[in-house]
Amino acid sequence: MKKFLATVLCLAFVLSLTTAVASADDTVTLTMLQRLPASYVVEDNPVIEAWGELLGVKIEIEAPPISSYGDRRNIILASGDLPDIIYVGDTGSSYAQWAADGLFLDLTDYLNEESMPNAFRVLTDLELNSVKVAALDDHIFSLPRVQTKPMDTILYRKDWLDKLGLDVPTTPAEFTAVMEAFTTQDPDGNGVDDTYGFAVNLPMGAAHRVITSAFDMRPSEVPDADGNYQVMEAQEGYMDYLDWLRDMYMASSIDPEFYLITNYEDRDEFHAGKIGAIYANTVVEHYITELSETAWVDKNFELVAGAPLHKEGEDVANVYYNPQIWGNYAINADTEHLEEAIVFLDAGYTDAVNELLMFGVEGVTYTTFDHDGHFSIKTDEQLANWQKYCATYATINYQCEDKGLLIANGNTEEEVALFNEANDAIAALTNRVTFLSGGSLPGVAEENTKITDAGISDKFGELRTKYICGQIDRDEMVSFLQNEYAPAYANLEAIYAANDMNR
Amino acid sequence: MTEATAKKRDVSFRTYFWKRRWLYLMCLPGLAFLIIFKYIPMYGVIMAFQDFSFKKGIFGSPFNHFAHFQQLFTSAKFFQVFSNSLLLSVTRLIFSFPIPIILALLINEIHLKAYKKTTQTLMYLPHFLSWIVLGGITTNFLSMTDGLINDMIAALGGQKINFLGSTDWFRFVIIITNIWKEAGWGTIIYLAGLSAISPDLYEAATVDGANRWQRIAHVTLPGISNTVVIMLVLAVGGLMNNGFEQVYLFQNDLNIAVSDVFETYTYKIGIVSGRYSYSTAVGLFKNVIATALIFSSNRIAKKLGGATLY
Repeated sequence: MKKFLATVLCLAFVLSLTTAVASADDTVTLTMLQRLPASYVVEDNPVIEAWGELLGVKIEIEAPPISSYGDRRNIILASGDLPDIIYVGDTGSSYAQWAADGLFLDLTDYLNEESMPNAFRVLTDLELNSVKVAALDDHIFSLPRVQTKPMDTILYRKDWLDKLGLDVPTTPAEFTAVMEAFTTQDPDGNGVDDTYGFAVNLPMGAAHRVITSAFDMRPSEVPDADGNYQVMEAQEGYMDYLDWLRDMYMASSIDPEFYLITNYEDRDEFHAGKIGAIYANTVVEHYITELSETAWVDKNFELVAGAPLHKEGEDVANVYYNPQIWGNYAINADTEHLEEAIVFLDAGYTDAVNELLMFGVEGVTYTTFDHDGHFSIKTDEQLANWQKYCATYATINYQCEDKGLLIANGNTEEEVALFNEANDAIAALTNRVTFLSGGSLPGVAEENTKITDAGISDKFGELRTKYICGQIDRDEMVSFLQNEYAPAYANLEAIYAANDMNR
Repeated sequence: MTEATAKKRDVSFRTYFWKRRWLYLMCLPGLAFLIIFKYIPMYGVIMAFQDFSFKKGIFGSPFNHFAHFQQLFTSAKFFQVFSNSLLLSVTRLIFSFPIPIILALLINEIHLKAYKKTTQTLMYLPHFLSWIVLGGITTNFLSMTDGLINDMIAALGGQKINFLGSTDWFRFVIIITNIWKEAGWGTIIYLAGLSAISPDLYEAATVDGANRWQRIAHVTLPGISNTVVIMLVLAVGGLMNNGFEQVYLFQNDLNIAVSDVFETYTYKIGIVSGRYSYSTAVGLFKNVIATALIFSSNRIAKKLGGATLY
């Protein structure tokens, strides 16, 4: 009897595992691989639910840890089990290879008034250039997330500047003086010699535009006045830039262990009151959003946004920008929901979708939303919800349909006014120079592979850091750049020249 | 063989198996894990001989024969990685291998049971911490700006040492942190071996007038010599493995010349750069060397008359 009962129960168990449960819900589910910050909550997110309702689909998002998104994306692409929509985040040689491998849907024939009217209307030819694959007859395999972003800035501790009687620096010399003062004059007033000027963020800002704007440097894809191409690190201004960093390091104005930074640890140091300036990918909006974290440590802090540094004798910084592309979205070539995926991606170029993703749901993430001013008023609880359920990273296109800013940063009208004032002030001191990146040109991937396998990239990183830290002399650094680094990049420069990049 | 004998053998095997059925059942999950996660994925090694295409997959991608290996052996970076890996693992073997043995001998000499158990537990604990945690603790200890070790050095009148940003100190940091984390856990197998030594041998040695050190030298060490040899054979077989997490956490621009080992190299070119075929070729090369090492060390152990792995 026992054996009979055990057998029946086992069979029931097996049957329950194998029996498919018929679903009464026929809504299409679109899967998406998305790059989202750690603070973003995907589970039971009312914004994602509202997004799905708006488009008549269910949206399932996989969001790997942001710091290792590229690794996870690569593994998923290699596995062959792709979601319907993928945030690619790459328009270089890897993207071209994936497109050539047939992983992504060719969108060239869909990007028209009938199939994708919104994307067709919003995206310009210049922006679409970034996602064309030259090796595949300039076909388009993803759509770019274009961003109208607030001005890039260097963020300073205003309370430190005020205490020391200093102004926001605008040139390298002024910056050096301010960093030295932050290091030596006890700006936090605690009587302990425990502060530095800033930290060089090599992974995120080795040659960041807000700093290099003050030196004679241009991207490798941009020719000089005579039409000659030269890799950036071999240009005259690059050694001047390294010398400037080295001088500050030797004067102890830079965090001496900057080489341990692997991501944005310099921001942690800034919030903790250890350094007085940060520069890597800091935009004016951070002037407002950074408030909360710094306040945990020092309630008397104040921040101010400074413009990119400009050369001595000039008034404005010439800052090189790619067309403002912040990643790209592709559709799985083998998706089973082609029509829905096309509509989904196209809808991402409407204000309705991006405002939903950026501002959220009324009553949950804001009380009122000013459509013209691009800001929302939130209670404390709504602010907490907004930080969980909304993010700039979640947008498909980070701009309005009219190319204006999607969001004016701030939680109150006063903060929004502060943001706009700072943004306008920085804009007056910045001249944005647009250039195209050559990452997806044919042959670029192969040349980069040769350079990596020869150990040039690693050796460059090692010697650059050693030079800044004063462990090697100038001759050794210059000799490496001239005799090993530049020759290794010669073929790459020839490719840019052959394609008349940025002439 | 007569039919009766064959039948008798068959019956005895079935009886043998049936008597121990629960032991075999207990082995099943481990065996399944081994087959599913270690043997089945082995087919992926053919990627080393292919130009892997995401779309075509492993079975559809074209073969390029030994192109990746040619690229490997002509790459300057590869030889740097190879020498770094070998140097680091040999140094680690020389300094880390004896520590668990010494610790096990010391623990074995503790007679107070409660003290012995407490010591063992405290020694095991670092093993359960992840390298992320230990790496963070080590970084804080060794920091030049406000690390405890450098503060002590400065207080004693010395010059601060850049432990984390120096090629000279990198291997030292790796070995010390490895000993800190794993030495306690490594004592388990030796303590098991020590507990199998008959107390009669110790009594006989004591009667013969042997002191503590002589008992260790002539009773304890010979008693665990087989265990030591087997562990050494395994350690030599794992000579090409340096572990990814630990090395990656302590790697930076200033020590990259000595810190780039196979694990971090294959991570960077494989996962980060997406060159799966090439990184598989690197991994295959490493594993062929490791297999050769384990066979040779086992053979040497056999020739010396000691215990062997197989």
